[in-house]
Amino acid sequence: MMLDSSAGALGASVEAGLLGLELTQVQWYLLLGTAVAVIGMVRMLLTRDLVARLIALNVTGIGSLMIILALAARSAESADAAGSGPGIDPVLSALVITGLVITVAFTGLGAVLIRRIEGFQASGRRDDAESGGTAQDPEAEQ
Amino acid sequence: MVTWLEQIPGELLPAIPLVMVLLSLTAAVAIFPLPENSVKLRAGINLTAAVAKVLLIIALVPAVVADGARPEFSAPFLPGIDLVLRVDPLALFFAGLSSLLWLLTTIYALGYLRGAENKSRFFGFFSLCVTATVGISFSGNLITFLVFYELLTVVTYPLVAHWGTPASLRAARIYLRYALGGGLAVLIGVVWLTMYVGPVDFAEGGAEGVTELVASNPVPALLIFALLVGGLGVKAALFPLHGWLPLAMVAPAPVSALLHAVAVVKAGVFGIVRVLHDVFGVEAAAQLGVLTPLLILAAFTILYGSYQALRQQEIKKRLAYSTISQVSYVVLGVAMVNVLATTGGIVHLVHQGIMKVTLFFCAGLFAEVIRAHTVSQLRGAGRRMPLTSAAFTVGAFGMIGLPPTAGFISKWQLGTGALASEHPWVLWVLMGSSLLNAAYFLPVVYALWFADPQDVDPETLVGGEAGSEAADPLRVREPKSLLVPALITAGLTLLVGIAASLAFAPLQVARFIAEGVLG
Amino acid sequence: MNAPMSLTLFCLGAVVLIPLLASALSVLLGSAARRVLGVLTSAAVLGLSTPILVRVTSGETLELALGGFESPLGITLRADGLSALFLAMTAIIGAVVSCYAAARPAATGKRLAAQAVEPAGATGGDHRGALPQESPAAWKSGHAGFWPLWLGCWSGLNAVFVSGDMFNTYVGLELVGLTAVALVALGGREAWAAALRYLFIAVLGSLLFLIGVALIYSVTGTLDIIDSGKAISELAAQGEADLAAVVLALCLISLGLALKVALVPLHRWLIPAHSSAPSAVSPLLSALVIKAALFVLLRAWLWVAGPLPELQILAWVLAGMGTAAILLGSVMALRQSRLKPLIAYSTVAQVGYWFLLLPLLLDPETNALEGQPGTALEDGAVLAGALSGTVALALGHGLAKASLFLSAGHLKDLYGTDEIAELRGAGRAHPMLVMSMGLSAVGLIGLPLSLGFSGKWLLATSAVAAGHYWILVVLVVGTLFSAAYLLKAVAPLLVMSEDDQTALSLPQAKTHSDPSDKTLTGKAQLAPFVLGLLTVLTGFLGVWLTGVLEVGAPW
Repeated sequence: MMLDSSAGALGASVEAGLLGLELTQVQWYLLLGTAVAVIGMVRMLLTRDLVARLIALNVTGIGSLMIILALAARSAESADAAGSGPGIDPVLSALVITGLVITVAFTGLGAVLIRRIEGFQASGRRDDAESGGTAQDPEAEQ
Repeated sequence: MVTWLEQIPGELLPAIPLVMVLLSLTAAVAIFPLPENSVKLRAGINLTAAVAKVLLIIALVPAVVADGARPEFSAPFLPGIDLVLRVDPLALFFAGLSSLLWLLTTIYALGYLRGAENKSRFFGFFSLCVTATVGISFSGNLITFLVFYELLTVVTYPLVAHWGTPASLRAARIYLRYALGGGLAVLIGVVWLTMYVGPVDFAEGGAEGVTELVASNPVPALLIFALLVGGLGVKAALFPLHGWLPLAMVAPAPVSALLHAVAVVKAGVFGIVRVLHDVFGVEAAAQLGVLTPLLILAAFTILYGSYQALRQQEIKKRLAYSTISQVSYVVLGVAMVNVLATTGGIVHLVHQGIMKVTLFFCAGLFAEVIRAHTVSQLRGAGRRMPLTSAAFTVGAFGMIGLPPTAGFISKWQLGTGALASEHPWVLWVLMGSSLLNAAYFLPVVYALWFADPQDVDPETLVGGEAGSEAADPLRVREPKSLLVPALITAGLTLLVGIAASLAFAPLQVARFIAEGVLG
Repeated sequence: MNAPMSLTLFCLGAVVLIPLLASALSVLLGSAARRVLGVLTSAAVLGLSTPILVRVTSGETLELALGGFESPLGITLRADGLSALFLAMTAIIGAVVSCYAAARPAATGKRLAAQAVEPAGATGGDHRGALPQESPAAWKSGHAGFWPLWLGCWSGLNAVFVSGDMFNTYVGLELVGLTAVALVALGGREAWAAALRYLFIAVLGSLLFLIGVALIYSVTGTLDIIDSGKAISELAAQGEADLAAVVLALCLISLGLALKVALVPLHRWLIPAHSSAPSAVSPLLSALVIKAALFVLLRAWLWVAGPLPELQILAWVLAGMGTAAILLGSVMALRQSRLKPLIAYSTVAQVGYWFLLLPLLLDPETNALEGQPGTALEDGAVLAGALSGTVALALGHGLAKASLFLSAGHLKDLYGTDEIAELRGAGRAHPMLVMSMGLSAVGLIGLPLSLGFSGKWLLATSAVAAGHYWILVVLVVGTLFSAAYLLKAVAPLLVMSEDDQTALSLPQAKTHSDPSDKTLTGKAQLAPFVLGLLTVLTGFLGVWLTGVLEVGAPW
């Protein structure tokens, strides 16, 4: 649904866009980015494995950054038509780069957390019994 | 004393309502952080604030009643709406009652709670409770009224729950449920009314725009009236909404006294009087056709409360149902719309307060000194605690309406008012209620004085200080700080009855108010 | 009191940069020095926020282009009434909670340490090596990583509030999200899973938000909030052109931010995250972090998009979700047996109130009471009233919830549990905590006097004026529910004795060997009390707040 509406919203210039016949390069990237993002999201919501979730999150991130890149190319196209230089819109590129950096930071934090959690799941049960419940039962058991 | 106070400079007048509210608020703020054992300081702060308040009220009486001054203080609160504190005769009347009874109840509570825990908390909330009551009486518009009304709800909760037993917490929870529900109904009514007519300033003969609203949109006006009176009726313990009151008896005796005589129940009734007189105005209310249903509801509540009181064996419960019945006299009076009946209703605000506080003081004394909680345990108590029993008897006679007590004055006014109104049948209600009152109070009085204390439990004898020098070995001596307030209020019960024709006696002020509204 | 303009503009930059610098600096310091630095920084931020608030109150919108670059690539800071109010709330709550955390280091989290005393490790440090059974490791309370994270978070919050363009808003949101996740993780083992779940949600929300921002940029050609708002209203005036993209963008932005504020049905992550976070962190999360997303949402709906009729469906969907949040959150709160989850569910419920105004924005006609005698409101007042009501509710919630979470966390730290049944009677030993809880309950229920009451009043009157009576019903039901669940939380603390005269006696937690520590713990109870008191006292600010919000308002 999101795919339809986004294509419909943006493909106002190319009528045949929805049929997938005469897609421009930019629209291909838009569709592809949306597909990747949606697939990542679905995987993220469905899997219970933490590492797989983290990877799916990154896939989603890459998909959304692709969408933004495609948008950047698109607004650069219209800038071309207006006579300014070719290439890709600098502002949206900056957005993408920032997004990448931030995704990396989050992935790092997520990896640390996963390592701690799984470290405990591997070795923590006995530790739990020894320490006589100094810490409460993990929320994760719900 | 009154002479020097009469000359309040004109420019100071508007500040007085604010000062009155801040006085008990400051007392509360000062009391809360006090350590448990600083008994004297706490008592000092309490009594200073209470005395100062009574003096201020006395100072205001001549200016407001005789000179027609209306000291007013306002501050912006919400866009287009101010917090307004204004002193008019009715406000002064109610504030005077609460100030005087606060002073007496504080003295009583100081003695009552000696040795109990959490005294700072208790007296802090006690002062807040009175702050709210004074705020309610001085409120100059509906929003201000609502603010203090809800404040009262919140600060009485810890007082009712004071003992911290599961039973008292349960009672407090039920009280809060009722009161918050009622408050919400009032709030909706206020929002609705404000949308139609803007901030609703109290004004004699009805607030601005309300009369037009009644004429043009009777249905919303009727619903608003129902919401307001229904919401206020929760605190006023009108018939189907009275369930919390008998349960709240688990509170400490001074709290019960305050709840019944001044604060909560009275705040509800006072609100109903305000809504009827100063928001809608009696003419608009008559146009809406709400007066007769209100009258019938009040009449029913009077009989129902009396009947239920008859069935209670526990003294405090009996008194609670008696309150339900007595407070509806006020509504009854104002709903009959003539000067005599309205005077009777309004004066009963004060008279009932004084009499009921006497009875609760005495009930507390009986419970503390000889551990008597039920009517049968009071057998022969008159010989053991003659002064307390005498005070109780005066209060009970007042409730029945025997001359020369205050209760007689109220009932006389109400009765003549009923004959002058279009509802003479109300007289029968009054007589029936008086008979019921007699039926549930006279046995107590009889048990006090004439029953033999044959089966006094020896254990209860340790309760008071056994008076060895007294001729009667059964005689116990009551703690002074509990006894004196009870005797004072009993004396007042007689005084306002006998001296009802003096200037500035409650009856005269009430007549002045009634004439202002209806004349 | 009025500082010169240049100085005020300096403050605008400094409220973002100073906490950031302090955060970086604190990494280099020992744990005691961090506490001092934290308190100093919070005092500084409080001091810097004051001139901004004063300036804005006097009717000026502040604007500063950092480093002299103009948009689109430069960084524009801008403070209008909305910014100033959120900034001020953050400064107050941040300062109070910082003082609390400094006075009670034990409240800042739990760390694994070898039995021998070891200096506090930095945040990202890997403790896993200490885990296996051969090495005697134990949980110690107190985590010095709190300070760099919280100061960074504060910087991010202020960045969101004073940012003039969507890009910096995004960066600020990410800084807040990243540090908030790490702050949750300070809560020890049981908090890690919650933190991870929060991380997934935060990133997902930001990505959706980012796509939305990019879409808006591709339509308007600018990231500046005010410029893009103008461009969109011009487009709307011209015709249908690219409005579909704007609607899609707003859908994505709203969805992303709804994830971050935990709007039902996207709320599940909030409960474990907020209730397992350390005592000094939960109040920050609930009072401040969520508000950042709310702030951006208000910006997007009111400043960027404006009242486009195409947004009608989205507005109603969000308002419906808000209503569901109030109902579901309250019912779930009533079913909790532990204090912190109950308070967390109360947050879920309160979030709902902030979404009720959206349909009002698109339909602000005061036609409901037209022709009535003496109708009070004129046209245009509905928008102002609805916005001030919502902001008052949000600010009031911030103060009250911070106080409530601090009190609850304090009790949990002292007694080692937050089961309400086991905390029966705790009020006897901690009257001040119970008093704070009572005060914040007054604010959350919306009884007068409190900012919550002013907010509900403003929202209700605007709703009635615009003929949206359903809001009134929702407010009433929500109020009743909140009274019920807060009473359930607070009342048992007041129990003095059981029927058999035995009172609660829980073993005190390990922290109380040192008498100086005990006095500090006593003093720390002042923090929730101050916030509780503010909840009530700010009830007088209704008029002032409406006035401040007029500064730089979009209408």
